[in-house]
Amino acid sequence: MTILTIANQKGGVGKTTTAVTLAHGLALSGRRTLLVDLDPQGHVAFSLGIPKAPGFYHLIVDEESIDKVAIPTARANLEIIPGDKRTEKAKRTVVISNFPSEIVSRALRGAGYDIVILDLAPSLDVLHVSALMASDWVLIPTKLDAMAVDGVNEVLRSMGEVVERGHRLGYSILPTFFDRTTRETVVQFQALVEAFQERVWPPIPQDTKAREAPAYGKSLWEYCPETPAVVGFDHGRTSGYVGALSRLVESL
Amino acid sequence: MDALKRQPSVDPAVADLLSDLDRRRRLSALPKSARKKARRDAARHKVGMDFPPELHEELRQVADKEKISISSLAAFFAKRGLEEYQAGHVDLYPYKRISRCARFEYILSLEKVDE
Repeated sequence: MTILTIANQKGGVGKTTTAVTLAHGLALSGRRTLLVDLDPQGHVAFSLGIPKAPGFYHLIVDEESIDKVAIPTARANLEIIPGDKRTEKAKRTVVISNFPSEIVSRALRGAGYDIVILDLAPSLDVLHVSALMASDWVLIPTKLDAMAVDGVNEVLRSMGEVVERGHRLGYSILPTFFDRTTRETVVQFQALVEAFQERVWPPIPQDTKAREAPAYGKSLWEYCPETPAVVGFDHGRTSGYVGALSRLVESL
Repeated sequence: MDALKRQPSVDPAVADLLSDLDRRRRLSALPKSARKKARRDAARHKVGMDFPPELHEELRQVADKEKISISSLAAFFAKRGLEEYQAGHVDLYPYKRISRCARFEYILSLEKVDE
């Protein structure tokens, strides 16, 4: 089982869209996938047309088994552990626990999935570190503006702490909301590639469909599978979420 | 000797995108008229092929006589030749010679090989 974390301390960079799209993409490719919502906003369930629920809270605070808190999504191979505002309370439990940094990995131990995706909240807290400690790989979505790119550096700093504790962790950076006509986007993209080289994946084009899909409770694969956010710019399917999915499968 | 320099390793799709962005940036820096020409040039499909000098000269003379470009004349003859080949009217066999290049088995002689 591989655990992938989607993280950026900056909000609104496309973390949940990325988590939902990749999770459903992996499920469609036949991998048993669990998507865990660690964000009190509970938008993972919302994006898939499922009511928000305190699944993560029950997993951490009540120590319920994954079988009990994971719910089906009416999509083959895809289950989620939903979140809601009670996830915030779960954080307090993590803080006062004996091994806060290990609480997520302990909770996920023995889960019978091929891949688990953790969708983090836009913050740097104990839950964040605990999720990183549980992870094999981190995907950092970022908008191409100075503040979001700074968020990438913050995630890397947290990862540094985790690596110092002896945990090996790979990562990639996924530029989102890419608009090639905007000068600032292009400048930030070039700077990002210069700094992180092969860690930077081809960007996800800015796409209104990606904003519409959650309103209908559909993933992008269901709502508009040929939209630029999915197939990328060149229709060669080397970028967009199709490209990200193939790179993810290669990386894991 | 030049100092060794590590090659940058960037995802090929990212490298393609960067070069496309660079092309667009250079294009937008040009004056409007030059931009139009640059776009037209970019849309043209240019290929490099080996032509014997005497054939090139013959083509040039016909092109001059007909007041057309060598490119369009060569494209026209290539198209006509291809149609003949596809219709089965051209047999390449008598023109084939063993190639000394490892990439190809044969080369074509422009003169028919007598058997």
